[in-house]
Amino acid sequence: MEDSELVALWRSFDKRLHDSLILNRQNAAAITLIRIKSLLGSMAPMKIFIIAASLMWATFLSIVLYRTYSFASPFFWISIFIHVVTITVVIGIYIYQVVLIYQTDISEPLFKTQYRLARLKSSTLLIARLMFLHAPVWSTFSISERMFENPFWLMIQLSITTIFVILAIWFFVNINYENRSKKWFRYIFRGKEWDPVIQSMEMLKEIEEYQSDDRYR
Amino acid sequence: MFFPRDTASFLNVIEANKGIIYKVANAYCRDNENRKDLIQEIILQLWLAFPKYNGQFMITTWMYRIALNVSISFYRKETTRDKLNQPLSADILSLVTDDQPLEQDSELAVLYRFIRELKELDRALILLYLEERSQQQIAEIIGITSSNVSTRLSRIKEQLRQKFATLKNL
Repeated sequence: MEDSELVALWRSFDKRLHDSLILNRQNAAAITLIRIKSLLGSMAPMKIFIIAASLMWATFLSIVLYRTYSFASPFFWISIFIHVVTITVVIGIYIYQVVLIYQTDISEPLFKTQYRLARLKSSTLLIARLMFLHAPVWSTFSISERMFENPFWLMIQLSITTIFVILAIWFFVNINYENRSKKWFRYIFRGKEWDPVIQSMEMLKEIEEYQSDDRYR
Repeated sequence: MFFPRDTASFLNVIEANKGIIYKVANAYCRDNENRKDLIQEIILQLWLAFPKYNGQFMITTWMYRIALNVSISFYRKETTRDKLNQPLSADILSLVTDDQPLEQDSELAVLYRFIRELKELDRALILLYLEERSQQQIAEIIGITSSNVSTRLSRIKEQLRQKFATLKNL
């Protein structure tokens, strides 16, 4: 089918649509009475709550670290320190997401809005990667020095921590767009809360294709 | 062009451009029930954005941007109905012959099917092309350069040509 035929076909559809499409003004007017925030605006309060709660948690742990610096087990101290650093980075990502939410305007060009939204959603995956990366601290913070006196417990502890470290690094490196179709990836990131994240990564790829077209022009 | 910010003016804008909303929703949502929800969502977002419309662009450019942005990103069947505290029982936009969708016409149905198979941004581009929008207006709606619009459109049209040719040879 030639271009002109396509346009002619669409034009005839447009004409028939014009003749038969009816606006129910009463129902449309009812929409203007609905008190609701914009969809993006409604996402912000939950993120702000998470930021506030995480800040309180990080502050509490920082005080614990400060107070126990002189006598705490180094395993406990360093594990909690790594946890606080990770939480701080995650707070930073949430702040970035809130900034993106307030910057996004759906009446802006598609490219700009979709790029912001795709960045917003895909940054959630970075949070998941960081959570995996710092998982080994949960196997080390309770190590006591007495454990070193017992080779059996020491071996068990070393094995568990090594497995945690290997898995954490593997997940951090491998959780990415290229692996989205792999079985393990689909198993972890399934469900309606993760589908938009995966879709947003696809959207980022599509936008990058458009950008590269503009760049090489 | 400036519009008063009252409900009547808003409804007049929607009335004058209802085809845009229907065609965009139809391109991104095949299922009839979901499409009704999407149309409702687009009109709601247009209403929320209406006070900020400043006439810098044509009203159709503003409408296409919002309708396409909502269709691509915001619409989720599972959450839309929950978000509206007062879901509307009847349709906002309906066809006189609602039991016989207009795209039953075989060639049009095939064209719509091919459009829905395209990637989301490509879908927006071809839709605007079929709507006979100028390259400049398409560039303003999508946010890319006019020359990129031209290149992209050539590729998409070629894809459609090949799909129609394959169908013909079956």
